[in-house]
Amino acid sequence: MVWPLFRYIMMAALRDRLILSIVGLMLVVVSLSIFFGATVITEQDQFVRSFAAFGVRLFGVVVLVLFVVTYIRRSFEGRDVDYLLSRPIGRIRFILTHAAGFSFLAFLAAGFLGGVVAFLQMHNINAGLLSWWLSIGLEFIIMANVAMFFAFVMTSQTVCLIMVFAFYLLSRLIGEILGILQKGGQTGVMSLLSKIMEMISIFIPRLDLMGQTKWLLYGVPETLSLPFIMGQGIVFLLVVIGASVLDMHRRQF
Amino acid sequence: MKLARSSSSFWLHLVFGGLLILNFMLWYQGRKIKDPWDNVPPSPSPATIATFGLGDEEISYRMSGYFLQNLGNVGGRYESLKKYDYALLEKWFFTAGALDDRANFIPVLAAYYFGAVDGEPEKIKHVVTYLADQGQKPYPQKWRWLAHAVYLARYQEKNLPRALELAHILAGLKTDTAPWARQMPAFIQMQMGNKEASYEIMMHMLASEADKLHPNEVNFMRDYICKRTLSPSDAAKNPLCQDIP
Repeated sequence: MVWPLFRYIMMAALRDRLILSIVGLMLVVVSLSIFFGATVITEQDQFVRSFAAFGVRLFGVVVLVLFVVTYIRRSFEGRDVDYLLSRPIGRIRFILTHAAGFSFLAFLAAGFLGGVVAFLQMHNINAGLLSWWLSIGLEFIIMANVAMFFAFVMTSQTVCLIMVFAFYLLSRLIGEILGILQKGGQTGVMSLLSKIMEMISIFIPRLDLMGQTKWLLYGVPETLSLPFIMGQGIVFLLVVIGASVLDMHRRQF
Repeated sequence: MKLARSSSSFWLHLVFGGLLILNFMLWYQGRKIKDPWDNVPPSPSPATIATFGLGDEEISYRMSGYFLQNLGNVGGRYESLKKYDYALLEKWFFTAGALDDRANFIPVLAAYYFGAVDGEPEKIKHVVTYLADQGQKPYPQKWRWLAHAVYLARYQEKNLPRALELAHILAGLKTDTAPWARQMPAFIQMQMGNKEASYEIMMHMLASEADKLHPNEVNFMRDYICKRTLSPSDAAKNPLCQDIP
C-alpha cells in the first residue's frame, strides 16, 4: 500500500501542474535575472547568478508549500484521508509515505531549479555551487515537511499557509535575530522577550546558514562548517516528521 | 414587477456609468501627479539591510547596489547628482558594502557614477572617504580604489593635503601595487610646490627598486626627476640626468 500511496501523491503533483509550474518558474526567474542583470552598470554576471539563485530558492519554497498544503487540506475535505486510512496501511506508514513523497518532489524541484543556476554558472562549476545546490535541496525538503506538518495539524488552509510562510521567514532571519539577542543590552520586558525568542529559536532551523548566494561567487567560507549546517537541518527534518507522526498517532477520526 | 425591475436596472446602469465617468475624471486629474523625490533615504543598519534578502547577504548587497544605481532615475524621473545627499550616500556605501567586501559593484558606483559629479568638492569628499576605505581591503586589485580616491581628492575635491595623505597610504600598501601608484606621493608633492620632497620620493624609489622595474618606467622616472623636479642648472650637474634617451 506504500507504493500506491506514493504514486498517488506523484499523480496529484502532476494533476496540480506542479512540474509545469516549476518549469514556468525557471523561465520567469532566468528571464528576470538576465533582464535585471543587463541593467546594472558592472558585475552583471555576478548579479544574474545571485538574483537567479535567490529567485529559485524563494519561489521554489513557495510553489512546494502551496502544493503540499492545498493537497493535504483537499484530501481532508474530500475524505480522501479517511478512505486511504481504511486501506491496509498504518497511520505511521501513511505519514512516512507522505513525507517521502513530498521530499522526493522537493528533491526534484531542487534538481531542476538548482540546475538553472548551475547552467548560468557553467563556466565556473565549483564546490561552492555544489554546496549551495545540496543545501537548497535540504531546505526544500525541510519546508515541504514543515508544510505537511502544519497542514495535518491546522484545519484552515489560509491560516496554515500564513503559518508556514511566517515560519520560513523566521528561519531565514533567525541568524540576524540571534545575533541581536546575543549582543545583549536588553532590560526589563525586552530581556524577558529575548529569553522567550531564544527558546523559540530552538525549534527554528538555521536556514539562514544554508544556500547563501555568496557561495556561488566565492565558495563556502572556511569558517562555516557545511556538515554542521546540513546535520542540524537533517535533525530538524526528523523532528518535524516525528511531530507529524505523533500528531497522526493521537488524532481522533 | 417587470416595470420595477426595468427601472432599477436603469438606475443601476446610470450609477455605474456615473462611477465610470468619475473614475475617468480622477484618472485624468491624477495621471501627471508624481510622488515627490525624497532624496537619499537614511541608511539602515547592516542587519536591517541583510533582511532585504531574507538573511542572504549577497543578494542584499546586489539589491542595495541596484537601488543606489537607480535612486533618482525611476518612474521617468531624472534627478541631477548635484541634488543627492552625499553624506547619506556615504552611509549607504559603507553599510551595504559591508555585506560583501570582495565585490566591486558599489565601489564602481561610488567612483565612476557618484564620483562623476562636477564642481562639488563637499560631495566628493564622501566618495573619497569610502573609496579610501575600500582601497585598503585585503583583496587583489582593491588598491586601485585607493588610487581613485587620491585622484578624486586631488582633482575633484581639490584637497591636496588629503590627496597626499591617501597617496602615502597607497604607496605603503603591502600589496602588488603598480609603480605609478607608488609614485603618487611624488606627483602630489610636486603639485603642492614641494619639488624637493617629490625629488626625494622618486630618488628613493629608483634606489630601492630600479632593478625590478621595466626600463620604460625607469626612463620615465629619470625624465620626471630631471625635467620636473630639478631646475635646468641642477639637472645639468646631476649624473642621473646625463644621457637620457
